[in-house]
Amino acid sequence: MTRTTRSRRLAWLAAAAAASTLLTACGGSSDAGDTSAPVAEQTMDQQLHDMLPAGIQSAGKLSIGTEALYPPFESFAEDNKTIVGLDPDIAHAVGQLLGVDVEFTHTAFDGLLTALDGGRFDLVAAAVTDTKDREKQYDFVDYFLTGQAIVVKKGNPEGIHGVTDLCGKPVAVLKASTQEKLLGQFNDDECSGNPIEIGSFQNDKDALLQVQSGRDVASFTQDAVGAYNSATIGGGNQFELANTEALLPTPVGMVFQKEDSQLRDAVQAALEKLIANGTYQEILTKYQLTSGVVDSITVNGATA
Amino acid sequence: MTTQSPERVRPAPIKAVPVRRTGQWISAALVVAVLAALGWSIATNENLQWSVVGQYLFDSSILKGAVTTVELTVLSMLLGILLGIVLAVMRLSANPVLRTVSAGYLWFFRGTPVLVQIVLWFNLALVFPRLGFGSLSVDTNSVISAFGAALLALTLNEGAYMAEIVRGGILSVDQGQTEAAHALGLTGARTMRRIVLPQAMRVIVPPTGNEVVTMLKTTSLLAVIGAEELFTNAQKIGARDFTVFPLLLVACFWYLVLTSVLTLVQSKLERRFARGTSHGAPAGPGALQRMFAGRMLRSPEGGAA
Repeated sequence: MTRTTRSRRLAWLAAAAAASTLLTACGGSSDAGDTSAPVAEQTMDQQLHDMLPAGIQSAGKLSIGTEALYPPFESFAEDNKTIVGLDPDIAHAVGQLLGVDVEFTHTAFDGLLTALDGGRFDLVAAAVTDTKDREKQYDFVDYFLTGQAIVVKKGNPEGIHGVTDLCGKPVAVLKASTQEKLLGQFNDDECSGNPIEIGSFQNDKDALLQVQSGRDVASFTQDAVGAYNSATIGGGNQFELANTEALLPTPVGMVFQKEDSQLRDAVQAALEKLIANGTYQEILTKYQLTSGVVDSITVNGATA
Repeated sequence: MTTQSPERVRPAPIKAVPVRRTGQWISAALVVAVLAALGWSIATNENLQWSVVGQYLFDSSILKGAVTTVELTVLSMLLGILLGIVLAVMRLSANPVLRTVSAGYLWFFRGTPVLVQIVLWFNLALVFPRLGFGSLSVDTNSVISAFGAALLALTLNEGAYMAEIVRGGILSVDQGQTEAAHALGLTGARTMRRIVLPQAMRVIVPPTGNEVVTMLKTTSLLAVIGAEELFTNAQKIGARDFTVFPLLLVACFWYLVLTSVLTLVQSKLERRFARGTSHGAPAGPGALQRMFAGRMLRSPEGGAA
């Protein structure tokens, strides 16, 4: 190890330390009520630390990719720099257990998995839906369950109650998301002959904007996100969920490269410990996302 | 009533009535009325959430994003101009290898969209996980951060366009100038530096100014890799609070401020390099006219002869 790399690492450590002080100083946004409430501090578990790959142990840092335009899972705090939400809270607790710093980086959703392939991140935590197709290329550590939601204008002017009501109508969705793929499947099955006009957008809020502007009759998104947006935007008077029953519940997971099984297992074990000590439930309660609670952390638990 | 009376000896002076431009008045009134209505509907439109615009207009992260946008613009333009000069000289050189390499470079970088190039460079680590040789190599992702990828993509792309602008400038200088310089005993490099380039600048500066303005706006494409520039930072706030549209207006405001400043600088520069020509008179289109004139450059006659 040359001197330059060592001093660079020291600089990194200093920067990471500074960043973590910042995180504790201004974590949380005012959006979802009490989301600024701190999560119980975890103490490092040497056994878990030993499970980490040597590279990450020596780097002392987990680099996590996300798309932080997706509250309540991840969004930017008031300083527009700190990334806050369910995923950061869980990841920071995991990092504390593993004894490493956690650094979140924001990039466009459709570029996340490519950047993971390129080694820019150690893992991706962006409320990524675990599907059988994605499992062919990546490993998922599933920590949340979510159904899908059809978000419409308040009052449901188009009278939409389920997938078949969307046939032949324009629907907005996040580009490269599982929801986009599901809409395509609906077009093959429920809506064959009268397909949904799918509009794919760069981020979930851009998709929702199309519902507000009337370009699209609905936005198709994750249940937890749709519920959060309906409840918070415009004092809850702008949007509502159209589907009355849960739609295609699927697990959501942190994403790892196939060859990173050691890191995957370490994170899984840390998450299990968070369930056992109650921190996991505490975080879900904080974001009012207990609907997605899981009893145990599974690897590659896709159902479809 | 207005006819001459017969008693008068001298004809009354002609009562010259200006041509009535009724049509002009009506059309002007119509345009003003439409603009006023438009302005009113924009100013009073609650959907635009002007209070949110005001709240974030001077938000520190927006200002920081604007600074990053300027940094990226200045750096990639400076590097792009240098690269462009090298490529242009290569293109004009007598060496067929240099000529071909330069042509190939232009072919690739002008032939692919800059958005695609941005994503390409951002993911360079997929192809080359490490850059360099052996123990002297570095992790690609640590070098090509979002900012690094942005700078690389914009610079390489700009180099191709600047090469053509510089080449056009050099070619615009009459061959006789070079011949005369050689006849006076100036070396090739010196001829280029003292004779050709100063004259070429007159042709190079106006389109380069356009390139700077275009570059400033092109940086908004970097939102796809989250380069923390103006548009990315506006998007972040918009997505958090679902104030997408007002934040777009905030971004527009700063882009306009920045391009306006650039346009002023451009017209100053143009006047400097136009000294000693008939175009050099200070009466060319002023900065304000230029600002609203889009891509149109000065008329061939240029100003009040």
